[in-house]
Amino acid sequence: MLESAEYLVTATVVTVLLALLCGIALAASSRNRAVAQTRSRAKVSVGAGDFAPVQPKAEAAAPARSSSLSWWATGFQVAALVLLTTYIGIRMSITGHGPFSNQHEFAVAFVWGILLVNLFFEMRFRIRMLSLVVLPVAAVLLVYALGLDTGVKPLIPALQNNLLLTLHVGFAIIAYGAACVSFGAAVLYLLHPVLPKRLPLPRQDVLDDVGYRAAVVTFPLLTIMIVLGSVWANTAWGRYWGWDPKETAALVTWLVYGAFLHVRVVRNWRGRQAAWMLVIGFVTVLFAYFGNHFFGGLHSYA
Amino acid sequence: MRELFGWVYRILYSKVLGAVVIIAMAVLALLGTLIAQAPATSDAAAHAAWLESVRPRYGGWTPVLDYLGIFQLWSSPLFLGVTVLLALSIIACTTHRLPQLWARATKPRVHVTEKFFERAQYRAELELPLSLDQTAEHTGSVLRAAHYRILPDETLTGQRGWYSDRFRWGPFGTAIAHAAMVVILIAFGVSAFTGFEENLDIAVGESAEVGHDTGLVVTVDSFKDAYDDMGRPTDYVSQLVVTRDGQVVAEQEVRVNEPLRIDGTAIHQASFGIAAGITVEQEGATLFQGAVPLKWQSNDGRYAIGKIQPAGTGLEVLVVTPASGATDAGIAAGSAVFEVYNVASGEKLDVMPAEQGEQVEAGGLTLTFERELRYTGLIARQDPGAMWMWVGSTLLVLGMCMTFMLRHRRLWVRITPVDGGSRLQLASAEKLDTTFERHFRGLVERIDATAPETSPSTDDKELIDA
Repeated sequence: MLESAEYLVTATVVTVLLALLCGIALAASSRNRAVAQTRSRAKVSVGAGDFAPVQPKAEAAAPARSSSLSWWATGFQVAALVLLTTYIGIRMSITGHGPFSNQHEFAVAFVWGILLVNLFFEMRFRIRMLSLVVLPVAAVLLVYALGLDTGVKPLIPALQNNLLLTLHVGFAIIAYGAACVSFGAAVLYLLHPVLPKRLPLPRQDVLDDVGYRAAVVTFPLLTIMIVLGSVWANTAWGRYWGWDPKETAALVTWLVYGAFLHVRVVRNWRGRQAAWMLVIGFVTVLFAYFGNHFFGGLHSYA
Repeated sequence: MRELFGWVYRILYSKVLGAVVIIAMAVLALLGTLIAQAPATSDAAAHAAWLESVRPRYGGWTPVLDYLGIFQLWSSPLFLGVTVLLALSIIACTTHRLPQLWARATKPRVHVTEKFFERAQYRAELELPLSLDQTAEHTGSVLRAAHYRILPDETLTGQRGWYSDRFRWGPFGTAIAHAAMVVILIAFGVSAFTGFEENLDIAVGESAEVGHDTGLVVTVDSFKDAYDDMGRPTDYVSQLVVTRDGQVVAEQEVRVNEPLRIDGTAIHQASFGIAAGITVEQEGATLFQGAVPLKWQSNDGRYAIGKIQPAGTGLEVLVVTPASGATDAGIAAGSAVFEVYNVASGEKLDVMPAEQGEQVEAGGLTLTFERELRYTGLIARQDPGAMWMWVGSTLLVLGMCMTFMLRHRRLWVRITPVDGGSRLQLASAEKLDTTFERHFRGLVERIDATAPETSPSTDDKELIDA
């Protein structure tokens, strides 16, 4: 059953790559440049721009619904999310707990978080080009997950707390997914000047703001994840904080995003500096995630 | 003095200092993660031995890192200094910002000039075929439906206008989150300097006092463990009975995730293993009788070792038995070897093998190896700081939710009569923000789409007729 279910992960890799190919084709095509028609009497101006009809500008807007490529790009992402959700569901029914007990399960859950948050941002902010950066990360993580031991082993005693395991790691995967999306926006921001002008990229300031929005999702979720972790540590190990390497790595991640939001709000840090901080933030996320391989300490079971 | 205080205060509430301290904290935390941390001990010899064990890894940097306190980073003056600076910076920033937040929430600037509607970051214009009052009423109803309050601009003549905002208390979330950080830092301090943590290694069937004026005695009735096919433990559970003054006050099976809590003391399952039951006597007085956990292994893995320092002797007794599964050990199964050391000099005073039940003399002590036992490792802990940690954490999450989900949004509205109706202008000085941009466009769109299609002349006529 489990071996058959693993084909779902392979299928997800293929589906993610197809979504990426559609995204690339979409970027190369100009069919998504249809300008929204409006009958509105209202005119809106943002920044130094002239007054324009109230609908959002086409460059920051979603490609027209009629674009089949656009439909397929979103469709493949939704399909990938469904496939991965099915795999996680099957695995949960076999193990009896959330998919968070070893590196394979967490890598799969990490990708699930990335796909979910990416879809959310794509729908809400109508920026499809984020996928060009986010989906390769998801694909690499899935390939990595397939290369790991996928066997089911009993939970070690420290992890035998289904509620906190689900909540603590559940918040982590959504936070990490949002961090990946902010990373995608930051990378696009940094590459914006060197990318061909014909690509339907959003304005740099929009990318800057989307990166910030994703960090605004990341930071509170990271906070809740760390708080839940300390509640769990207090129950299982008798102390809420012990400077365990994994705990400390999570704290470093939290501090980096905290510093980013701090300088953003009070110093109005935008542009390249902010983008680089988001890149560093995602590097610290990966550091905390992969750290299990070399940290040791109380989290070294995974 | 006042000037000095003012100067220090200005530095402390500087946002640059705040950012620098957060980044310094992140860098130190990263160092603490990457560089091995020495176990907390006051024993200089043990610390020196630990330094030697990491010297191959850090080479010539070993003494430098040790001098800087990097090997004991979390208790180093550098880290504690940065932590204190962070707390002071947070307090100064919050106290400095609160009056600004209060003024913005309670005494907003209601009137703005015409130029504001030409230069603000977000501006909208809309001509509606409605009278001044109708436009004002319609726009106001749309804004109120979007949870905006309306403060009329009384200075205008021939025009209508107002200041609107929503979630004006949202920015106080930053003050709550910052205060929460201070509470969390205080919690760390309370945890470090109050309460206690006591390791209790108790053999099955035996008891131990928790101490620290709790009056609690823990007895291990039984211990069970289970393993998977790889030999990894899947469960270990101690059946504990806790008494005070001979009365049973608590009884529970204790697992890793199921501690026993009694009167502010939590008893956690931490470890388990094999212990040697021994008796230590000196001149007829029993100095120790109980289980010595065999927690350590010799480098070659052939021997299990336990240690005890009988009170008042200045001696350390090592109990050595064959390790589990070691067939080539030089000690016969079911027997032990006692080694006695002088704690101060480290000198080995005596080595004596002992059969089970045999009494031997070593280093001036009378030692008896009773038998091998199973022991369970428990941690008894009281932590008054934990409650403050949960208060701080709750406030932190609450403050963040307020800050990020209830953003203070401000709009200025002006309505001017024009031929055929009214010109409605909306403006906001928000920084570039795609979420607000969408919200702003949505508001304008809603005002436009839901405006009644009534000509001002008809309305005016009706009003005059009335």
